[in-house]
Amino acid sequence: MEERGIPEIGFYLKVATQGVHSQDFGDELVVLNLNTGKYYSLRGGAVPIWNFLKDYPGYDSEFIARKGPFDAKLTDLHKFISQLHQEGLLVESEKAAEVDSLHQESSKPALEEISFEIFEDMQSLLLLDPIHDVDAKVGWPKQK
Amino acid sequence: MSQNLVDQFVEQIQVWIPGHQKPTDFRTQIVLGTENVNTHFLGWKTEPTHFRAIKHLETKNVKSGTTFFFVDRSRFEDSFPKPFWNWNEVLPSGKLPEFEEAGYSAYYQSVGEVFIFIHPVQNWAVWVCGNEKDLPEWELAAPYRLLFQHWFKSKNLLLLHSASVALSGKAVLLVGPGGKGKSTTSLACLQAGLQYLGDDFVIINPNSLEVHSLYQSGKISPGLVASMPELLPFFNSKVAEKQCLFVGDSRPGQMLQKADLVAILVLDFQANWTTSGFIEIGKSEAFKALIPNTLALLHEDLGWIQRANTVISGLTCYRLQTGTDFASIATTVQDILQNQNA
Repeated sequence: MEERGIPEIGFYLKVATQGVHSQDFGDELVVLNLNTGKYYSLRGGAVPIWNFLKDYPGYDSEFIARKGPFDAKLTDLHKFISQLHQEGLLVESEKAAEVDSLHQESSKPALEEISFEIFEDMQSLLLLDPIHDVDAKVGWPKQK
Repeated sequence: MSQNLVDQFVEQIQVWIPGHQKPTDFRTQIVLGTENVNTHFLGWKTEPTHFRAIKHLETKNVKSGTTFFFVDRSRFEDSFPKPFWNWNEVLPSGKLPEFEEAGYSAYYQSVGEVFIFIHPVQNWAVWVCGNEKDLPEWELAAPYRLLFQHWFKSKNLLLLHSASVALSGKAVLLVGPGGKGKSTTSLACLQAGLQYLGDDFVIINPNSLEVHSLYQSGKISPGLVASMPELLPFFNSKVAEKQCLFVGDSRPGQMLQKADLVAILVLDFQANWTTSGFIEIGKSEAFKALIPNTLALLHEDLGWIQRANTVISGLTCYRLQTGTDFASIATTVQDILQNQNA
């Protein structure tokens, strides 16, 4: 197993599973975060990075730059991975996945431009709590 | 311990309901998706006001093993069994987790004090409100939604936030967040003679890709009513600041119970356009237009997304670009349906 790279964010990361769902449509990957009520569109280079993070949890951007199946700038990768972390789409990982059969550095295609779009239009509805803000007295609560 | 409390509560309901039934109660049968259901409105001597939106689903002389009971607690001096659960443990979706652990399904919605309980083995359910008069205004156009939504799950049916219109039994879903023109587009199609299945929520069978009507209500902003002269006489109700018509009452020949789905149309209304048009789009566009806003309204979970996505996967998706000419909207939808039918 390869040695893990130096973590820039402070710990190793993996794709969140609690309340996070991703749907891959090939040219676009849509991620829903029910914890925050936001959803996201990933296109171009963002898609293979996301898929790599899903397949190989527990690595940092330096390692992904070296071992991912694409030729990417470390600064671009780090910026994108930091964004994913800030949005709660990546969470701390205790251990890394096995990486026996990763691509060799010499045969990697250039990573397309990373496109990451954030949608917040459903946030207020998604986070609406049917019980919060009610008088929880004995019996059937009423909305305040 | 929790199981015992749940079972005791269920037993209390099972005693309470027969003890409060009367021969004069309003009862009827409806078709919900693929199922026939007996409905029994305890304490209502005549048809409830809210029943009008689902009256087109009424069917006669069909036997059913499933019964829904409807209760307005204020009609019974609040004698309905009292909650035993801790309200702080109710999930954001309104789910009461103790019931699920005990093999039942129960949800609470604070708006209107609506509680629903589903007994999946004995095939009965109860919908309870605090006082019918305190229900939110939108319940007139889309009543009993919490009960239907969760009961559909046990029947492998989906409730989707979508309008639907059809031609010769082939239907399209009209999708998009509120304000994108679902109601306007479906009513423009109704005025032009197309068949109507709903303007807000419809039932989907994800296996057969059939769409079933749930609500016959159609709503539109008051400012647009004059643009629909043929429907104008039928807008005789007001729901949440919108004019409402009941299609089964006013255009019964165009009210359709079910149809085969052929396409999803993602709505894109632009006030500075006149005529309408359409282009084929990727399924991710349909996913973004349909899934987040349905999830937001219905507070569904991640497992629901996979089932809803099978509907998108099985259908051709278009962007329907609509403008201010309603006749052009209907013609464009008709063109899509005719192409799909060809």
